[in-house]
Amino acid sequence: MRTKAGYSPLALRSRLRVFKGTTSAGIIAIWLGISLAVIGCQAAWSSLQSHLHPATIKVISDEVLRGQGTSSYLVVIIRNESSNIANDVRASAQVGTHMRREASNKGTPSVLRIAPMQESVFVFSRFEAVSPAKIHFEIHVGSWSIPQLWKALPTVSWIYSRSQFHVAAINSNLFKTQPVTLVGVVFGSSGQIEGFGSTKIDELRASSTDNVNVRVRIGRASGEQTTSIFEDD
Amino acid sequence: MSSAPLNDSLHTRLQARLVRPSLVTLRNPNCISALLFGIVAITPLATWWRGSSLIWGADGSFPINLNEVGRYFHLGSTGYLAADARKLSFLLPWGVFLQIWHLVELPWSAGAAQRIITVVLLLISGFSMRALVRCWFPSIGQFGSTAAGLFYQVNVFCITTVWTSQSFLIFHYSLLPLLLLIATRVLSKPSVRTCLLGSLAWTLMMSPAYITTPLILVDWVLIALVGIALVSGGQCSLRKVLKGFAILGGGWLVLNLYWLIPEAMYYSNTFSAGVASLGGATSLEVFKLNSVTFGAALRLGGYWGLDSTINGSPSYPWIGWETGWIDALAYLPICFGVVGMFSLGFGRTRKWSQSEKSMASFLAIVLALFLFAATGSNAPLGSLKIAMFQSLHLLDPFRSVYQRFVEDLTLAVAVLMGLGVDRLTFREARNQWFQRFSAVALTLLIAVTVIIVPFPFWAGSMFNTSGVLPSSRITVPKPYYTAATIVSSGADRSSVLTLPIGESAFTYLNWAHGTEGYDGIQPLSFMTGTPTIDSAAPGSYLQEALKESMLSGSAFCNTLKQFNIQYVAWERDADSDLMNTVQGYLGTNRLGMGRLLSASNCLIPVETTADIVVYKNLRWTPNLLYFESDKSGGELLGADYTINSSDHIRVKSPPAAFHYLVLNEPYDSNWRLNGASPVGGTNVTIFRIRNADRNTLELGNVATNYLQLFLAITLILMMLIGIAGVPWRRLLIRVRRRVE
Repeated sequence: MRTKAGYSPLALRSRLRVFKGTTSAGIIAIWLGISLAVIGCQAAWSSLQSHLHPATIKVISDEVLRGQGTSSYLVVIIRNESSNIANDVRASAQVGTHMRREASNKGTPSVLRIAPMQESVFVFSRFEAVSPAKIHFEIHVGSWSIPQLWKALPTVSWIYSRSQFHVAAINSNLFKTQPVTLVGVVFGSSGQIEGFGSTKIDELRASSTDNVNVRVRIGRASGEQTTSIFEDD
Repeated sequence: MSSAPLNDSLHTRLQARLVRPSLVTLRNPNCISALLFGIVAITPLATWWRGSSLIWGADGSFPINLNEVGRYFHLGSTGYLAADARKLSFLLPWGVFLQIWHLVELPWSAGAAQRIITVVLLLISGFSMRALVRCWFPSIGQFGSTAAGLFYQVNVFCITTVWTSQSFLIFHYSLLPLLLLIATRVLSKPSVRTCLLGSLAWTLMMSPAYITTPLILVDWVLIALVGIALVSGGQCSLRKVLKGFAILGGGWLVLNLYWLIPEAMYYSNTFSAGVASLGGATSLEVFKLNSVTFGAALRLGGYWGLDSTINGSPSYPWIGWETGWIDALAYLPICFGVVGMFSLGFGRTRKWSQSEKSMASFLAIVLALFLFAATGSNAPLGSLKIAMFQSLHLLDPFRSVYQRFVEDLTLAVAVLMGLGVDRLTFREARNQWFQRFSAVALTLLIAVTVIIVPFPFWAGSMFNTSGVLPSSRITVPKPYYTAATIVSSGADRSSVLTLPIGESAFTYLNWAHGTEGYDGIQPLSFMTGTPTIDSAAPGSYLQEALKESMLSGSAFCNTLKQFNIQYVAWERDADSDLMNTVQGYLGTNRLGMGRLLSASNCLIPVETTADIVVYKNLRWTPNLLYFESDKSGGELLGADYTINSSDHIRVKSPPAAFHYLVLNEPYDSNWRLNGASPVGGTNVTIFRIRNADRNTLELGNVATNYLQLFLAITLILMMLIGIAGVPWRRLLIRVRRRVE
């Protein structure tokens, strides 16, 4: 008997009769059925995510950067403080019209994989005065979905202190030639991008300019389909 | 009046249509099933082998040459390696059969035998699964039972564990449905005769696979559960089942004493040897490693080794296939299984008999039980399971969780899948179009399950090369046969040393100038009955001695003498790169090895080929036994002895000053000197010579004595049960009727 609110208690009772005589096969079937449904949903969700995924964050400096002299360096640092981006952060960088390079002071493989709580340093040598100077810097964030990135990016605040760019990581004798330009991207422990930016410093000491001008493009892996642009001018 | 027969006829036809599966309307569904099972069984002939090659998995132990079979009848004849009692169950029926074949000098082709066995086992697995499903669920249609058979023949588990490794698990896996079918028949109508015949069949079918001893426990549990299902299904009384189970189990126990007793004598060494071969990992670590996740167990996959690589080359070359959508499709059988359980578990949709419902519950419990076990240290209740296995002392024997439990899980899934498929044929539906549609859809889904998901089975890619790892298709080079013949002609109880030598008998070889290869247990050990020293355990006396002598060079001949080695087989085709990657091998430096062997003035090459060089030790003198004046050494004197059989040696009495006889083999408590146990030893086995025994010194291995005695008794019992138990006359009459 149907009521406005749905089925009457009597009807419900008669429906429950289907469980009468349920054997252990039935109970196990329910258990496995639910398990399979959960696994199916999880698989479908991760499959959906993996299809959205191959996202790339592009950081392009709108500043024209020029090296000074013939032996300037451009140093790019990335620090991955995220545990849920895990090993999927890959980075490469391009300066101006130069071919894309994956550079490192440690001779690591061409495409860097940065484990959580690790940082990686890109060093472009012969960053000369005549070099075209826009930094083109890509971070492949692997298993992030576009909705997640959309959610994460508005949380970025644009003014940072030097410490968040981990300049100390390159404060060694390896880089005597200065000035250097730094670009840093900081992934927070929650997996969100906490900050990124570039700064030009004359010496490896406190930077005079913590304000940065960068553009972030979020697009598909091909890098051609730009879906959104955030600017901080 | 005349309408009654017409109605009857219509009724019968209607019933036939309802009962007949929608697959079909084809005339003889039995023939279709047979054809499908045949296709599965015959396809490997086209895709697995190439030319005259053999298929050789990591656990491959197929007798390449029948000369080697005789050694399984003698436990102590292993050269300077510990006796391995685990292989004894291989003797019945295969060891005895092969030995008889060898003795009557019938021609032997390992390649042909392997092909025949594979095809026969695949056929049996399909047919017996179908028969089992029909026995347990008489109401099931042809479609469901055939689907169950096909799935059992080809699935992810069998390509991962059974056919790839080529271990004796191929017998266990293929014959398990037949064993359960026999157990069901026997327990439902138990009589002494049928139960003993059941024991005989159980022994003949499964014993070779009981090299993996934990399988015995699993099989007993499974048969006991079948008994419980029969009782709860009202097919027979508890008393009857208990009686049947007791005779069946008791008969099996008696028929298997020939290997159970000797193995029990070496039992303490069995599992420790297994653990040592896993690089010193503890059983708990191995248990955790082999435990699969819940989701992976549902699709019968998830074995950790699938992702393992050597030098970047996957150990399973087809692993790339089992990812993404293919992995998702692997859930189909369990989904069918759940449908099957639903259809019987609630009993509203179809009228199944009480016994069928009871059997479905039994299968669901088996499924849940083995699912629970196969997930091991993983959820659900991982810690509890570890604690349970530990408290029951089952962690060691069941450390290979995936291999031990997913087999039975596969069996349960296959039967339940058959039920699910049967349910989805909608036999009770009146609409023919709907029936046809469901038949087509189900056929496609079954094709996906048995063709697409386990595609490596069909393509033969299970055996392909993988980077630096060679193909599992091997062609043993001719020089190896020559080498085997040479070393087989050596003196009784002398040994052959193979070089390079690893920490286990596993070796890597480049064959056919590197175009083919070999990775597996030392092939020479499958070609000669001469004890082959093909492994030196880490830190062992043998390994240390070999290391030292190889370094010094000059002491190499002494080492050969010390270990009673008459021949050295230097495998020049060794894949030293892989050996160095895997580590633990001695003698991989080809240049250095060549120098060492050619500089050893006791060695003379008797067979030199690009693949293998066989050296004879010119200074070899029998060194299996010697006397010592003192237990801790003292003065030594070579013993004069006569070998009656490999494990029975008569020794000429020594001068009075020598009180100890030393057997130049690692300590083995199962040797007896005039009935007395050894008094000590580690790297050797030492016996005290009692004054009363001085006239006759006879050395024998008591485990071998038991083996041979009980083997003879078992053979006699088997013949008696076979002759008296089988109703030959009835069978003959039936066959004659069929022929007529």
